[in-house]
Amino acid sequence: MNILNYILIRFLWAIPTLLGVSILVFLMIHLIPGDPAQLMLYPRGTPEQVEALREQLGLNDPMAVQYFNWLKDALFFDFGKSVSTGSSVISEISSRFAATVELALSALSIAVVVGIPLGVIAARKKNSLIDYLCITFSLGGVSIPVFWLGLMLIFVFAATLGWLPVSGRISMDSGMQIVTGFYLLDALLIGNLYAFGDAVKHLILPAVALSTIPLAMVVRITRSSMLEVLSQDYMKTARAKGIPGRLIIYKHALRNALIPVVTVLGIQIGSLMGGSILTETVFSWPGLGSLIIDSINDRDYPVIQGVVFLATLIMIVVNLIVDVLYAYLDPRIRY
Amino acid sequence: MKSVLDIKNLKVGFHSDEGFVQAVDGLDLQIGEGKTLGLVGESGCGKSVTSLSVMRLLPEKARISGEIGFLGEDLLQKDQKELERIRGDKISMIFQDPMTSLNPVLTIGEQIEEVIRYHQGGTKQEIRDRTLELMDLVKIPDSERRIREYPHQMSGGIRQRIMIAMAIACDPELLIADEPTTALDVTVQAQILALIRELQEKLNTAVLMISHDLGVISQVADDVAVMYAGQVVEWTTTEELFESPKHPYTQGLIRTIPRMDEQQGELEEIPGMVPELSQEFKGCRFYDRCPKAMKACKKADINLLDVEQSKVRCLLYSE
Repeated sequence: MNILNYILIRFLWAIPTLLGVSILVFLMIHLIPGDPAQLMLYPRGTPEQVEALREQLGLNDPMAVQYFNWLKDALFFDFGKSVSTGSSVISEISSRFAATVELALSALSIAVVVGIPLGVIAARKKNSLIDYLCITFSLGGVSIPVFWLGLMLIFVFAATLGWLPVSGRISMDSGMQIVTGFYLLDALLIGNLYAFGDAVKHLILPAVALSTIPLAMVVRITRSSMLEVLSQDYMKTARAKGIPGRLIIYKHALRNALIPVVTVLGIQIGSLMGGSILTETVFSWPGLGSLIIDSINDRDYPVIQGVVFLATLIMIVVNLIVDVLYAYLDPRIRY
Repeated sequence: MKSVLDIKNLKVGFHSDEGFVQAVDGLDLQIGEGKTLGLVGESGCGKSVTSLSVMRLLPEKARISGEIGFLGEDLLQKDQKELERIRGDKISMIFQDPMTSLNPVLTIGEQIEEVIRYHQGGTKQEIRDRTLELMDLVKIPDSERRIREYPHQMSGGIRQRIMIAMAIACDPELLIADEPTTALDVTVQAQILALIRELQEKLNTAVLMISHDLGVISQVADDVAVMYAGQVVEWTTTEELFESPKHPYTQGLIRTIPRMDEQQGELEEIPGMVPELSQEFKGCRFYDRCPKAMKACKKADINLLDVEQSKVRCLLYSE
C-alpha cells in the first residue's frame, strides 16, 4: 500500500467520525431541559417572540428533518444566525478563528523549536545538570496554571518593564488593514513592517503563556522517547558503522523518537485550535476561546454549535495530518 | 604470518550495584590475516565485552586497560574521531539479532549506502551501484526492489545478509561477528555461516567469530579460544580442540554437545554455575565445577601453559 492509499483510507475514516460528532452537536440544543427558544430569550421573551424563534430555528419540524437541514447547512459552514448579534455565525467565527490559529501556531512553534532540541540534549546528557533543569522545567511547565503565568508575564514584561503590550492583537495606530485575518500575514501583505513588528509584540506574551504546557510535554516526551531509542540495538549498529555522533542522533535516533512526540503535538494542536479560553481571556485575545465563553454566557446556541463543530472538524483534520506524519516517519505503519 | 588483531592483557571492568565487575581479566588473543578465530564460552564469560572493546563501543563507564593492537596500532589510544574512521571501514561488526539491529525507519539501501558514503565517498550513482553489487554479493535476491524497502518487510535471514553487506561494504581487515546466527532458524543459520565463510575467503578478511555454540565454531573457525569467567582457558586450532580438548572446561563443553550418532542416555551438563565476576578470584576460576580439581588449583593464579599445539590454563599440564 502506498502512502496515497493510506491517506485516502484515513480520510474516508474521518467521515463517520464527523457524522457522529455532528449528531452530538446537533442534539446539544435539544438536550438542555426546557425549550431552547425560551431559554435563549430568557428572561424577556414574549410567547410570540419565542414562537418566532422556534420557527426560525426550525424547532417545530421532526427531529430527523431538523438534523438533516442543520447538517446540510453545516457542511457549507452555515450555522445560522447568532441570536445575540443577528449576524451569521460563520462571520462571527471566522474573524475569531484567524486570531486563534495565529496564537496556537505561534505557541506550537515555540514548543517544537525549543522543546525538541531541549529533549534531545537532556537525553544525550542524561543525569547531568542540563537534564535536571529540563526535567524541573517540564514539571513546572505542566503544573503552573496558565492564567497565573499569563498574569505574571503581563506584570513583569508589560506592566513593570513596559517591553511588551498588555493585551490585544494590534495597536490602534499601527495602520493595520485586515486582509486574511492573520495579522502577521496581513502586515506583510500590505507591506507594513511597523504593523508586523507591532503584531509580533502583541503575540509574544500570549504565545509564551500558551506554549508552556505543550513545550513541557514535548521536552518530556522527546527526552524519554530519545532515551529509549538510544538504547536500541540499531543505534549500536549505527555506531559500529562509524557514523559520526551528530548524524547518529539526528538521522538514526530522532526520527524514531519523534513518533510519540507527534502524537502529543497532535493532541495539543487539536485542543489549542479550538481556542484557549484562559489564555485568550487573560490577554483579551479575540479568539474562539473568548467567543465560546461569550456565547455560552449569552446562551447563543447557534454560535456554540458552530464553534464546537468547527473545533471538532479541526481535531479530525489534525488527526489526519498526524496519521500521515506517522506514516512518513515510520514505514511500518504504511504497510 | 602478520597478525591483524593482537590483544594483550586486556582488562575490562564495570562498576555496578554489586560492586566492581571484572568482565574481562587479562585476555590475550591474536588473529592472523585472513584467519577466523572462534571465541566460545557461556553467556557472561566476557565474549561480547571483548568484541565491544575492540570496536570501542563499550559504555563510557567501562574501565578498560591493556592493549588492543590492530595493524600495529593500539586502538585504546585512539580518540573518537579516529575510531569513527576505523569503525565500519577497517573493522566492522555483525550483531546477534538482525530483527532489532537495523534502523526501522531507513530503507535498506540507505543503511548500506551511508557506510560507503561516509567512508569512501563517491557520486550518488557510484554508491548505489556499489550497494547493489554488495547486495548481490550477499545473495539478496531482487536487489533492485529490495534496496528501496524497509527492514520490517524482510525475514531474519535477509536482514542478517543486509547486516553482512553493510559490514563488508568497505572491505574491512577485521570482521567481528557476535553470535551472528543465534537468532536464526537452523537452516538459515547454515546459509549465513556458509556466506560468511565464502566472503571471508573471497575478501581475505580476518574474522572474530563469537558464539556460545561449538557447532557453529567448528564450521567456520581456524582457531578457537575458549573463555571462562573473563579469561581464556584454552586456545588452539579448531581441529586440535575437538580431537584433544585439554582443559576440563573445554572437555565438559564438548561432552555437552548432543550427538545423533550414538545412544545417549541423559544429556550431559557441566554441574554448577558460572561464578559471579564481582568477586576476588584466587587460583582457578573453574575450581568449584571441575571434576579434576586439586588442592594446588586454588593456591595461586594459573598462567596459560603451552601444551603441544595448545595453550591451556590448567595445572594438570604443569610440570
